[in-house]
Amino acid sequence: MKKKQSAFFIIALLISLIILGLLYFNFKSNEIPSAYLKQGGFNRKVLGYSQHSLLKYELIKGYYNIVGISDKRIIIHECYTANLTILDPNKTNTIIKLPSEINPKNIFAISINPYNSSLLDIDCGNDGKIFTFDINKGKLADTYKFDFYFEKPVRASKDSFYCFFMGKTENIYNLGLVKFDAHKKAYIAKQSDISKVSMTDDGIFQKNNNDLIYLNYYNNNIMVTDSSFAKEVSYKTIDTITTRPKTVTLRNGTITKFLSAPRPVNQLMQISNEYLFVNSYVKADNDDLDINPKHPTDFIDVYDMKANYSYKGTIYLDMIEKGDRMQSFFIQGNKLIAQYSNCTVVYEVNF
Amino acid sequence: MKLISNYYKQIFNFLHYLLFALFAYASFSKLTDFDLFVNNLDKSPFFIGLNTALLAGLLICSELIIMLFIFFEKTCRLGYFLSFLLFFLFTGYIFLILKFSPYIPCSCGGLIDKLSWVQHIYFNILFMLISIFLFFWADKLQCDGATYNKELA
Repeated sequence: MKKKQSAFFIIALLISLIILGLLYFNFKSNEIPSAYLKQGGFNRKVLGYSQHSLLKYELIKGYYNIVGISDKRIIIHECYTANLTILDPNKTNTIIKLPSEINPKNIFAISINPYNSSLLDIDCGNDGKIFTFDINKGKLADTYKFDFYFEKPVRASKDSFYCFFMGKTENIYNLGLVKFDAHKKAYIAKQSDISKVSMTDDGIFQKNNNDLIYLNYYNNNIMVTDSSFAKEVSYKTIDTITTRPKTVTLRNGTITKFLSAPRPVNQLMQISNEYLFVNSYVKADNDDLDINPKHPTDFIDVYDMKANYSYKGTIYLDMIEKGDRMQSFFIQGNKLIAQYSNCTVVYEVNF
Repeated sequence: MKLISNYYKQIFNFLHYLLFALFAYASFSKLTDFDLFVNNLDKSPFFIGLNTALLAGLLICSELIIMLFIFFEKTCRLGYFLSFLLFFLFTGYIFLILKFSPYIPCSCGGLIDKLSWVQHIYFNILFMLISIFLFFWADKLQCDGATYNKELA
């Protein structure tokens, strides 16, 4: 009897281990590859390589996002935490804690207020709020409340934002202008016909002078519209991928999820002067051959916005640490700041 | 000798009720907030591409079945055994999350939500030991199904 029990126990434990093994296999087969996507079908042109590194700030290993530059200080946010790190030109680091009103797990993005560089706009979409944080005083300056779901807010003026919000159709988000009443409560001032599908059309949204630019994460589309939403023009990056990730909507449209892990094509975007900078994950045919003998970690493709977003070339960044990819980057003038898991590096770019 | 036997039986019954209550709580709390449970499973990198709504249903059903097995005298040993296996699976899953996941998804709802993933491992190991103790001692100290049925009524 005892032998039978033991055998039964061992078989059951083995079955449990097989289930865990299958879960691990499912995780591994869906894991985003650390190598670049290998679609190819195009060539890159060297715009800059082995850029001159001006400064390097050491940090505790983590996941960081560059917020921007305020008064020559680089501001970075450690994702999912309340920690803002201020990097001074004299290489000292100061950590500022965000106030408790802000749930750090719900922070989607932080950007410098274009009208006052000591203020940060903190997008907490899941809480339905955008907080304005005064970095010099270390306290909240304003709170904008939304009673509808919104995505990708970009400041339109001192008291309005461009953002995507749910239209008449489920999972379709329309671009529009949101203003605020005296109680800082949001209302839709203008709604455009420009829309994106939830999740599959996800991307990066930024404003440049009078233009609003939307770069898709998962394909090679750049959508550009003006601030009145009157015209919508599409451009393409040099990447060859045009597919959408597969999703499934379950239970009467209440849950949409990816059927497999999405493969980001364009992960990061920055705008500076007349150029658009895109950190692409797609490998060109010549990346490993003639151009790139040192196998750099990251590429930044540069597009000339004044010449119909034509491809100008690629900035190649040296590998900082094996396997450590750029988490975020920021460009101001000829300074390129690249963020890695344990350091921030300031480069000088000339092209 | 009889005193010692009664003492062990009291411990046994206490642990038996504790395990039953835990499964009742876990299954009903998931049932009452099914959407939250499915959404939490959706956030896990180990369930990508799987039908998490179906998986959530299966997990709740297994918890209810284990609860019922523990409830009835004839099946309580099988209930303890299945309880041990479920805790073993859950502990293995937490280990996978902590070891391989690029991020830590949120855990579960209710009171146990207050526990971190590491605390959850200790919690699970404790209940694995309880389940195994009950399984091996059930032969010697038969769980008194009739008694606790009356108490619950």
